[in-house]
Amino acid sequence: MMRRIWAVAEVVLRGWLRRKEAYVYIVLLAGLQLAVASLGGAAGGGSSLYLFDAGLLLTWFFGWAVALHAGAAELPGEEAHGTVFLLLAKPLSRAELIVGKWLGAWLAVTLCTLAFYAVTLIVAYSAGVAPPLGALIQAGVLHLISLAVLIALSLALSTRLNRDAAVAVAIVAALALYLIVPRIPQLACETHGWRVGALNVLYYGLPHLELFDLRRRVLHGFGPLPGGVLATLAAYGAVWTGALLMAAWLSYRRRRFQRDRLLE
Amino acid sequence: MAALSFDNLGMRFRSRGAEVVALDGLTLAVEPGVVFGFLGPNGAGKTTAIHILLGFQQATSGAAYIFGRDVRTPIARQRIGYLCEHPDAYRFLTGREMLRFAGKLCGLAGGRLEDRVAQVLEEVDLSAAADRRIATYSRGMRQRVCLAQALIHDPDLLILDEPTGGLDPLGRQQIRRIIGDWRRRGKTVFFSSHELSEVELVCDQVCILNRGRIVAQGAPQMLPAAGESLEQFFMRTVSGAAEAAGRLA
Repeated sequence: MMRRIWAVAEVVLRGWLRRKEAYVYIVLLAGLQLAVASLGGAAGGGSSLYLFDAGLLLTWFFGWAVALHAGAAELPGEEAHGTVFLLLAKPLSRAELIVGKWLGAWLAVTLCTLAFYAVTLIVAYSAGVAPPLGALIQAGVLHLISLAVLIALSLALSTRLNRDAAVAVAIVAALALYLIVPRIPQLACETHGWRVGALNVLYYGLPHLELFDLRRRVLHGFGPLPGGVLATLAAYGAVWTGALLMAAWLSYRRRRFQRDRLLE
Repeated sequence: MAALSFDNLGMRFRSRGAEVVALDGLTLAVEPGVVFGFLGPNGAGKTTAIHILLGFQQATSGAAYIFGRDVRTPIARQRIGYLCEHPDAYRFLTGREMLRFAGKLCGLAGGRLEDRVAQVLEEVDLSAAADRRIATYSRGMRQRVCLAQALIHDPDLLILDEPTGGLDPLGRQQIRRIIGDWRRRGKTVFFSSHELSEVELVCDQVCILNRGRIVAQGAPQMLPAAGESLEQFFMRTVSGAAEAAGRLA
């Protein structure tokens, strides 16, 4: 079983390394960081930390963009090219296909994100910023865990939607989770009755992506998180990834494949 | 034990408010070692039956078996190789990488996998282009690499859906040669085709499907009346069945 999952993941990874998207993202991030750096240089001293802040923000959201794209592209791509028929005719279960796709996309996104961090660090060091490495590594690890959750989310959406629709819905869902879910308690304070209960259900029932964001900690030099907290956050991410992959499998396991040119 | 069998297979679905009967109580058994032609006009239900056999769709009634195993279990697909109509492969891979991937999915590894990859590349005449990306292959070469991935684990049953569609005469001849080799090795080949002249050349048994039902079955040389070609017999059978269905309606 693991051998088949790994075979699928390997092909996904190879595809990402051989296509141009990943390199376009890296060049775009480097270009943006250099543009921000040149603006910071023009603004004079004291702007280095803001520059690093902007770099981390760009790295964070570029990681998201690649993850949502990678997760949503795989299954619809197989169907559009007809390769899904060759795959599913093999002794490969749909669960193995989904886990293999997720694993391959996560490995590809991990490589991309590490390249993003490398670009950010080069720009930061050249601007004279020396970020705390312990906290930065933890921030990177939690970022990668959040990307695992996002890939599972977009993969689950792509079992029912086409690639573009899955990317669009996943972006909206991810931004809502990141920006709105942490503010639900404030909303709950301003309302009453059954709405408070409904908001509490949403607050505890949806994933909290903001928990994986350690950028403030890195910027303000608060030092690394205790190991237990890091492990709990990693377990939280793993549980959500598992739940979303399960949802993807439930949606995909009885999916009928119809391709006009194949149907008679 | 039959290489593949359909037991009262039914497939109905709704399309734009109307009920479509794709398969209507299809019952068929194909014995091992036979080259079996699965014929029928467009919309007869051939591809639907093949898709159910491969687990791409679930039948609404009845069951399908491969070497006695229910097709709904992935393990049933261990002994089959499949080539779909207008197949495509991962264009960013080389031919050799594509075959390695297919082999790994079928449980091959190490030296055995490498041996099979080399053997199958030779069989489909792609050894010279094995390390080129599939994106650079011609259509015929892509068809052959897809056929090679179906053969990689030396399956006992080969399912081909319109295998020669869009191929030039040379490509068709090559597919016929591979089917012939497969038969000599005692393997079962089940294929759907519109090319009746080809069917006559390679098949031991055929069945003609129309509107989800079998309307004729037997050896391709025995089915037509004296002086009639298989194509004429096919036209007569299919149009006769359509007229009968029209009268019933």
